[in-house]
Amino acid sequence: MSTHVDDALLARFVAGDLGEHAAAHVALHLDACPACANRAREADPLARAFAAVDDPVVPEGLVAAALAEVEARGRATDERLLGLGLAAALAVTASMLSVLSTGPVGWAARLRALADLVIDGALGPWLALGTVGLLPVVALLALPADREAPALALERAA
Amino acid sequence: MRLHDAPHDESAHIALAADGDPTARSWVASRWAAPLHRFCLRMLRDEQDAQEVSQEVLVKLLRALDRYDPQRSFSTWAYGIARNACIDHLRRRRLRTHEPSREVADTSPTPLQEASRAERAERLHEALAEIPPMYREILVLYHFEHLKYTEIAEVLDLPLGTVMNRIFRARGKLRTAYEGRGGVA
Repeated sequence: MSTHVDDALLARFVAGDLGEHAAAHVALHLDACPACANRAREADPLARAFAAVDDPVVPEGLVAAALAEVEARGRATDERLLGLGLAAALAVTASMLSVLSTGPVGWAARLRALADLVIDGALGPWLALGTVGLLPVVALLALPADREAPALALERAA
Repeated sequence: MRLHDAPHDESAHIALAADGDPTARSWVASRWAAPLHRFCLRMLRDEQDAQEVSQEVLVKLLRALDRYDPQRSFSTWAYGIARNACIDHLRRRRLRTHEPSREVADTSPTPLQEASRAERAERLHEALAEIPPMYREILVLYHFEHLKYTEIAEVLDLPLGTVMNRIFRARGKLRTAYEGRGGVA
């Protein structure tokens, strides 16, 4: 639709007398043509009623409260990540040490054996196991906060 | 037009806020607090609920900024988050209270009485509260938030034709409710 919408078609559009496809066609034009969009609003009696309504006042402290909550939740997530990371590291280390403790060997000897394993590159499977164990934890932490509600939820609510 | 002020400035602030810049985050929160609160209030029709939900929406929005796709319109993304939060809240409220249809006093004016601007606004709000949320949201997005039809289709995740069909039904229902209160549409 390269030219403007004529008055008759606009009146039918505003009255809701057009079919779905024709209405969508006109709507696309109105989205791209401020002049016709203004004419449509002027022709719509409901639009005048809406225009008479003042905007509500934003509650004092809304922004500050939201920012403080974001800050607090960020800190809580950092602490949770740190705790989980430490716990995972301790668990992996403890499991490796327990495997190495097959006899009355001192901690120093166990650590030396562990260092030998690191040097020999024999710890690969253990590190892989530890990483795989951490994946579900990371996935849980990365869950989106703004989940998408089902599109039909509102229809059900109605 | 509220939504398209200084888009480059806004996208720069959004990118900085997504990287964790506190000043930019504060800018985004201040920029979006009014539209989101306005939308929530008109959907929920309760000051306290609207404050609670709009704060929740702002928090979600700020925390999800790093997942926002700059190819999409920020406004439709933001209103989408607000819409979902309002739907969830309406559902919880319904479960909690089996929300009764609001009692509406007879506010019909005498034939010669001209309704004041405030009265007309209140009548419109009451009429809006009376129609189902799926129709209310589409009118709020179009008439109060001045979204384009294609933007509304994106927020609601519906084809444009369906949006048009719904908006005409919504207007019809609102007109009936509004005129039932003595408003002239």
